[in-house]
Amino acid sequence: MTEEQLLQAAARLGEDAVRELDGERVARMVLERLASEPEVPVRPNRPRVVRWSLGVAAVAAAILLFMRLPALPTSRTSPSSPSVLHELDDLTVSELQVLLETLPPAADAAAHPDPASFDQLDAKSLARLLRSLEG
Amino acid sequence: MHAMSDDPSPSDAALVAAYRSGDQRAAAELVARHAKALGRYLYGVGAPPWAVEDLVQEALFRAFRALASWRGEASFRSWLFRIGANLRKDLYRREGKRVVVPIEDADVPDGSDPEGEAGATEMEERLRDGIGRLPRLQREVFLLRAQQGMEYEEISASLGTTPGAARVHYHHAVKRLKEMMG
Repeated sequence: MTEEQLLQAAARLGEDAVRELDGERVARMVLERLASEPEVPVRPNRPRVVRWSLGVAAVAAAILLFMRLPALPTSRTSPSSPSVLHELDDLTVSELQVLLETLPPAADAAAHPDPASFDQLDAKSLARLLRSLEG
Repeated sequence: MHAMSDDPSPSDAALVAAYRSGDQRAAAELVARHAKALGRYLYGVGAPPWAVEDLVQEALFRAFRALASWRGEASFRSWLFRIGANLRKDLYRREGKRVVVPIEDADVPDGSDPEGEAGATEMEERLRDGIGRLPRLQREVFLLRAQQGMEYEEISASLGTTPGAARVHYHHAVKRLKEMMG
């Protein structure tokens, strides 16, 4: 195929595909859509280089943050550090009451029950209360 | 107010200004002026025939919605073609593959020379297939130049490259297509 034949074929390319395309119909459809569809604010289209730079910077920041973070303390309730309050299960009511009274007063007294009311609680309730105080 | 009637053949820029001033006829004129060329271009870059009209309509709709972002560095036509090419690319991603209509299924128009028509259709399919194998810039530069008859300055403004680079892409495209088509 010569270059001239190639260019002639390229110049005709798609003539059949658009033979049925009616410009007036397309115009009518486009204008109808412009009138009926609400305009959505367009987000500014950043150049590709800027988008890539932002992406790379975000990944680098995440990696740096990850490398600089100190090891997080393990949860107090994780299996590797069992809660000392498991031992409460074996205590009697009077022992639990003594233990509650030894706890330091809370900064927000209203958030904690009056120690005088401990007398009315059974072992299960006292243990639950102590666990709630554990935080 | 830019009135279309002031000029028997207003430029695209004048029509855009008229439309932005509220003249709906200016939009209709722009569509009539560019719809078919846009359709042929989209077909050339690989849009399946069944999708051409929808893509043309969608590209024009988005272009009118985004007219404020058209600064006039590139011509309205090449700017519109870029919107269309991006839409075609989105369609390609959604479809996952290029949809090719087999030659036997193509709608061959009736004519006095059916064998000649079939030959032309076959050549068109081979050309379209070859264009589809080109790198994106070569493909778009080739079509804008060979199919749409644009100058290198207009092509380069549209594609964000230089006229010299556009010329090089075009010559590479021609060389590769000649090799592919024998």
